[in-house]
Amino acid sequence: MTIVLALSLAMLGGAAALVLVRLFRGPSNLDRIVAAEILLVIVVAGVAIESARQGTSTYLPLLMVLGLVGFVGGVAVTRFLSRDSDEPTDVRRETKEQP
Amino acid sequence: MTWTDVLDAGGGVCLLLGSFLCLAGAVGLIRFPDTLSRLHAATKPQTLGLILILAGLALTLRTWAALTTLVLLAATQFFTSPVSAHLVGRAAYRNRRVDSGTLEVDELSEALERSGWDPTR
Repeated sequence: MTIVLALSLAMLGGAAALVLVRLFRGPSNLDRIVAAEILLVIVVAGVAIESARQGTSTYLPLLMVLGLVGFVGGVAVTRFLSRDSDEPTDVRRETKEQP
Repeated sequence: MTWTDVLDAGGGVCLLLGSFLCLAGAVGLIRFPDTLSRLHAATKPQTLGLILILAGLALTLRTWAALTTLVLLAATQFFTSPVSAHLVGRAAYRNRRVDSGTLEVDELSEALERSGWDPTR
């Protein structure tokens, strides 16, 4: 069981490293939101595996809170960015064209 | 070989499969070319991967309190992850981050055209 849990944690670590690369590279902010949600899922999975290793159910409320925070944060940032990209925003473009 | 051994082995297999699915989703996130296909790769660990890991945890802990909490967590994840994926896909479309050559069917652009949405605005 120890080997299985260590192997799972190693895979989760590799997955987190790859997701961090995507979070760094972008190219758009939407890709970063997707990567951040997956990073939170990987954190939840890591806490679950640690909980299985120790055999306690102490961490279960933490899992619940992490899942809900991931959803609310992702939706809020997506709504905030839904008309936004790395290029200049519409307002700036309009003010530039006015004269 | 007792029942506890069988349940422990099943839990270990579930934990391994879930972690592997997380890793596969991360590889897809790195290698896929645009936002929509990255979203496709990203929703695998969000639903099936997490549910496998929670099932593994439930098989390892084997208490009713843990089982109910984990079922509640899996259900919230099951209902909330499509909502956030839908929002991200919609935002990607409206920001014109979608390569329309890769789409088989594009009903959203027809619907937006009918509703008078101006893509240049």
